Amino acid sequence: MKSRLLTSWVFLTFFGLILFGFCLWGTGCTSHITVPAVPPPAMTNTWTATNTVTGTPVNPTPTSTATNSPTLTPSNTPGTPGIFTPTSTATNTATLTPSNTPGIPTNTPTPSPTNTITPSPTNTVTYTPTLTPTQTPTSTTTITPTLTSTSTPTPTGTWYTNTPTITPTSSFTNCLTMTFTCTACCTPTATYCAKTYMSGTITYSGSGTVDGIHPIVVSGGFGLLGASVTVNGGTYVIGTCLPGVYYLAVNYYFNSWQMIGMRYSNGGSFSYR
Amino acid sequence: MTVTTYPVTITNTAGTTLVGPNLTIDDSCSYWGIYGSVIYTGSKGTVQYCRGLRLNAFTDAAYSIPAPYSAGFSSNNGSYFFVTNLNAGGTGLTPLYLRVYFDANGDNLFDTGDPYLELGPVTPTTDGLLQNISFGDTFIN
Repeated sequence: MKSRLLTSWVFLTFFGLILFGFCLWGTGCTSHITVPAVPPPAMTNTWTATNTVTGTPVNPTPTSTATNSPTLTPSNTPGTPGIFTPTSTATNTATLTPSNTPGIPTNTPTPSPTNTITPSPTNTVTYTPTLTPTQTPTSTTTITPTLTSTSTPTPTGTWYTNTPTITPTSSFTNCLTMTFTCTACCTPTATYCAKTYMSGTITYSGSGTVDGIHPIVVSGGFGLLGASVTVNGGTYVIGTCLPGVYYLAVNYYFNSWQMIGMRYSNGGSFSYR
Repeated sequence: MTVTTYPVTITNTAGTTLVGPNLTIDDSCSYWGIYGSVIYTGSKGTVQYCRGLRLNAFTDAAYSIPAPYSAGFSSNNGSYFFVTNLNAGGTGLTPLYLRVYFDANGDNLFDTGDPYLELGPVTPTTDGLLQNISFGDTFIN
């Protein structure tokens, strides 16, 4: 650019000087030539620069660390791109309908050809001697301990074993029948007879209660079979085999078998001759 | 053998069943008196034959006039019966003063060292008064 400007300036200067000589040489120039001033042309410089940078571009090293806030949940850490490896196994829970259970093939292959094995030689087992069951199982029951019947004290003298059978009858004849079964040396007594009986009722009109522990008792002395009643107004039956006169006494146990408080009365006489 | 529960009927002459009187009894006649048990709970000894319990009755509050009732016990928890009917020579329904003691020294007397209890007046009844007695060593003669 500079060289071009320099060349232009030299050319113009030279051409001016020539024109000035002509003027001076021709004097004949009868008149002045007025040359208007010509302003120099505007100079316009144009240039183009081309920078060529060589080398390996280097990424700038970050000097600060940006922190994301808030912290995202979940905090996923990006993995290294690569081949995706599944870490879980999905299980299908849907049940297929119908649920067919694979069966077992039931085809039985038929071997073919059919082999027939014939063992040879044939073994024969012979038991010697021949056992014959001859025992019949029996059961034996043993009771332990063995019961022993003992009597205390030990009876002395002649021992009779009688089993009386008492047969009371609702329609009295003359006695109670007592049948003895004699199992030893004894003289059986076929009948126990109370010859005469007397019966009636006993009624207590006091403040007590006649029951099992507050009975009314009838007695008449030796030889008289007495009686007691446990229900007010109950029936008594007394009897005797011995002739005589008996004076009856009636006692009511006001205090449950205690003598104190007992009521007493002479209820009459009962004679047998 | 109880024959009272069987009705009796005469059916022949071999035996005879008489129709007896229908007996009646009421409260007009009874055994009056006092009865009960006697227990010694003290520690002066064990009730036994030679060191027994004695129960005496008196007719006065000073325990000086004996009544015709007494009882002796050779074991603990014995029973006594004082029949007081007048027609039996008793004191009737007059109050009695009962004293019980443990004969600690075995001399059969109420003397020094014997634990005792005086019950004060106790009135017999026509039904019989139940008077159980239990005493210890609270009172020593």
